Amino acid sequence: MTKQPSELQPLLDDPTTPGPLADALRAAANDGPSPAEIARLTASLGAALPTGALAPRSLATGAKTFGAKAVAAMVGAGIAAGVVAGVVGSRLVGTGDPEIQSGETTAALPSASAAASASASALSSSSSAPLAPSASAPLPDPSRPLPVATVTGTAPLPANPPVPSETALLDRGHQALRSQNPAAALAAAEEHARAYPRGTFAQEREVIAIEALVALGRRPEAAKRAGRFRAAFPGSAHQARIDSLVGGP
Amino acid sequence: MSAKKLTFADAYAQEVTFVWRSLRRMGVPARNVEDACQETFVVAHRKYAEFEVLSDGSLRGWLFAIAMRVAADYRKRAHVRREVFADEPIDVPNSERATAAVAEKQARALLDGILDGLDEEKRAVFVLFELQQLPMSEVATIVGCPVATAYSRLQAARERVAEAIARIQAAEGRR
Repeated sequence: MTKQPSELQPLLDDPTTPGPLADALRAAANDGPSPAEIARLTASLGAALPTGALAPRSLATGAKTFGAKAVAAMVGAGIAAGVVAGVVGSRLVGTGDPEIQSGETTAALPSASAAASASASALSSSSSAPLAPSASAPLPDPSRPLPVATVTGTAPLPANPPVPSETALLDRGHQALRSQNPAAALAAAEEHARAYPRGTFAQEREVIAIEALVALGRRPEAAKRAGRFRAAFPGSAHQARIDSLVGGP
Repeated sequence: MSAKKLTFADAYAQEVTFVWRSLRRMGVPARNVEDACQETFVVAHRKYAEFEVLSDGSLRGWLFAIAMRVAADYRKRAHVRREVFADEPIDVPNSERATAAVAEKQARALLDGILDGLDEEKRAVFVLFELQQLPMSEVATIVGCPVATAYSRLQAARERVAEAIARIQAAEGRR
């Protein structure tokens, strides 16, 4: 859109904007997620959504590439990178060191799928670059249970919340399912149901619970729960997944 | 779904930075922004089919509306728990770059404090126009008001922000 001469200019483009305000606006306008934060978010979001939801269209048939291993590695590496960045002293905006930036991106996506790298590289053009001391950050053992991806690289939480966050509980559920531990997945779903009966992720919780019940061989309960889901969330994006779990509507 | 429409994955890749920045400037603390971003996109995914049938819908406007609701929830929780400030940690600077980063954080914290004093309508217009640098016509579409209204909200927001900056400078001058 071409600007009319009379059109209002953003304060940042106006040389008469007072210095402190201009500094604050510039700092805020440049603020954005680092590649490590994007990788972490993509991993946790990929786990919370139906398989393949984050795979680009051209790769949708290869949705398996966005599988548990890649996601687990991304989550792990993302956390490692986040912790390192936190120790070193926070994200530095616009340092523009291409070596640091590309090293960081590689470290965050050690075995990520083409899908994940494609979106990550599309996103890494954002103006912020984290400071990470090369790609030598040790990767956590993928066979060990991963820490829950909540907040890393920032201040420790000032007060311990009495209940884990919604996303933490769901992450735990998803990871338990992936590591063939449906009982733990069901426990996480039930804990979520108690803490957040009408939470933002009630639908995602039900998917975990139903999948866990099927894996535990408790099919009648799974079918009952699927029926309740259909009634509560008509037209849900998760319906197809649930139908395939319990063998049809 | 027509071919030219974005898949959800494309929409995510294209707009994640926009959503992230919107959440931060609409008052979500740095330590919660990843969770808030995830919530925004999980809700967006659930409703994406709805969005796709609205042929003239603006993707950013639609995502911003979801992000605004998520941010409002986080702001409420932050008020209850009194965790508004001491958000981005200030680290001990040990190099020029780190010093610059601290200055940026302080500048952002200053602005966030001022934005916290605006009502949601003015804050949204200010964030979209001044920080996301969108043209006013798009800002008006996103917040769902006439362009003239968006302009007057922007003017009001600018006045508040200028007053707050002047107050802070005066206070620093007295020290």
